[in-house]
Amino acid sequence: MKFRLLLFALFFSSIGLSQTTLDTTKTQEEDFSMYADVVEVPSTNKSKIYCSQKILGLSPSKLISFGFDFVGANSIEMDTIGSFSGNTANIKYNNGIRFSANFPVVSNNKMILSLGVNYLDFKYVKSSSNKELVPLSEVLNKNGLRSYGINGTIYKPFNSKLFGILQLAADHNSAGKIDEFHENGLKYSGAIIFGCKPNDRRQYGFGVTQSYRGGALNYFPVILYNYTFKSKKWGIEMLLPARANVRYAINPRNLLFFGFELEGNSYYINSMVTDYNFGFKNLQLHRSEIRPRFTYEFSIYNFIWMSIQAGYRIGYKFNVDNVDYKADPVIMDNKLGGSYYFNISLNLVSP
Amino acid sequence: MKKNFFLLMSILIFSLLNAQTAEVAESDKIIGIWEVGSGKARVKITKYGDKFGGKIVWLKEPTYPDGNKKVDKNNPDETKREVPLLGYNNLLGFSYKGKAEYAGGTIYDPENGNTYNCVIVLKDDNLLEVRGYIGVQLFGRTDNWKRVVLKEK
Repeated sequence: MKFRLLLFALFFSSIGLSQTTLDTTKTQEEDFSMYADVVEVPSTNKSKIYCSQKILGLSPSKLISFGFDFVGANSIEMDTIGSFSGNTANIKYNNGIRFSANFPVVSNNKMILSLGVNYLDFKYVKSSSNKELVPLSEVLNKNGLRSYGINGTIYKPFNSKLFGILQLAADHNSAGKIDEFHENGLKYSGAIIFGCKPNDRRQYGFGVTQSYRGGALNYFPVILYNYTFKSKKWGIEMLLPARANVRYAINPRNLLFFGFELEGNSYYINSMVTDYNFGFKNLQLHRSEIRPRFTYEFSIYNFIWMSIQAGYRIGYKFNVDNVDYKADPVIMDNKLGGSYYFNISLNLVSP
Repeated sequence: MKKNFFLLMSILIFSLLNAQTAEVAESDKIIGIWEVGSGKARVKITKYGDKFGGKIVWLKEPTYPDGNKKVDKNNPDETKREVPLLGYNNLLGFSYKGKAEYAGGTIYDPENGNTYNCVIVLKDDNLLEVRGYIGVQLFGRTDNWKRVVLKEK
């Protein structure tokens, strides 16, 4: 008898315990005002709290982007080279595709490591009004410019406010076909930034970059500044000298931007070395342009966004340099004319 | 013999029930009020059925500059844009997976109207690591939520 009583006692005590636990989950009628007056319970976890790279209202970063670029009629004043006298190359239009993909391979609150690939080609379709042209025009018309590469970015928060960003990239840039690989086409660039995120609407940082955005290899100071005004309608997205934009949010899924981008690179011009007997081994086209533009980015469906961009391309540099001769490398001091342009891209964006 | 059998069974039943109770107690540690990383909202996590969910119970700025209460104006579903944010169920469908992890649920971000897959890890009794993501966990971002309790009056 005692044994059976023990059994019942054990059984019901167990049920009693579990019911007590479950009872705590019952939802009660709530007065929301009571949640204003609270105290924080300190965490016993030794792990620190780190600032995220996101700030409120910032345009979403693109995980995968596929775009099309079009530049209207323009001209290039070609300098003399060898026995070829200078001339004006009339370009009917430029077009090209841009593809980039960035995948986070490590992503947690202590670090984000993203690896990416990119491809860009840019065709030069010459106008029928052109007569005698210098070799560079022929090379551009035949092959255009092509760039492809890999990159990696590390975002490392140090605590709840301070962070660092390290970006490294290796690209192959040339005026040749995609299967024409040459070590002179290899370019390495990078940037390091140390920054602060004092609150969820502001982020700034300073650093240095090794970049080809100015055409030739340069070292620039970098300023990062992202800010969203209290209204959340307006904001600034800036990474100088690469780009700066003023942002207006119609709503979080429809964003307007006005700003500029400095775009440039150095391309190995294979054909001008192999097809013409100029005696140079490493001729590089240093292209750099400034693009003031309007951009409209909007969500088509969830995380699939479209970007439509229109603006004006201002030619900054279009030199051909013999990079083996550093004292006076400029072989052709060309002038790239301005033109309107537009770009449309489809993007998978990050949360 | 018969007595020993009943004793064995009773111990077994007791152990099973208490193990279940312990697991329930373990999983219920997430229940409570949590303040999001930005400090702009507090979310109350409760249990409904065998799932966990949460709703917004406090906003640092509960009204617009014109004095009207904040609503879910960024919701892609136009019919829900007048729903007040206070009391909004922004965490839904989480199951306890063991090892302090709650998964299988979604989190809604009223700042942009997006709903993400979500996994929550209880780093300790008073710290949550909340990760919203799309598709796979790598495509996401993490926020740390701190536990708060009501002040005793």
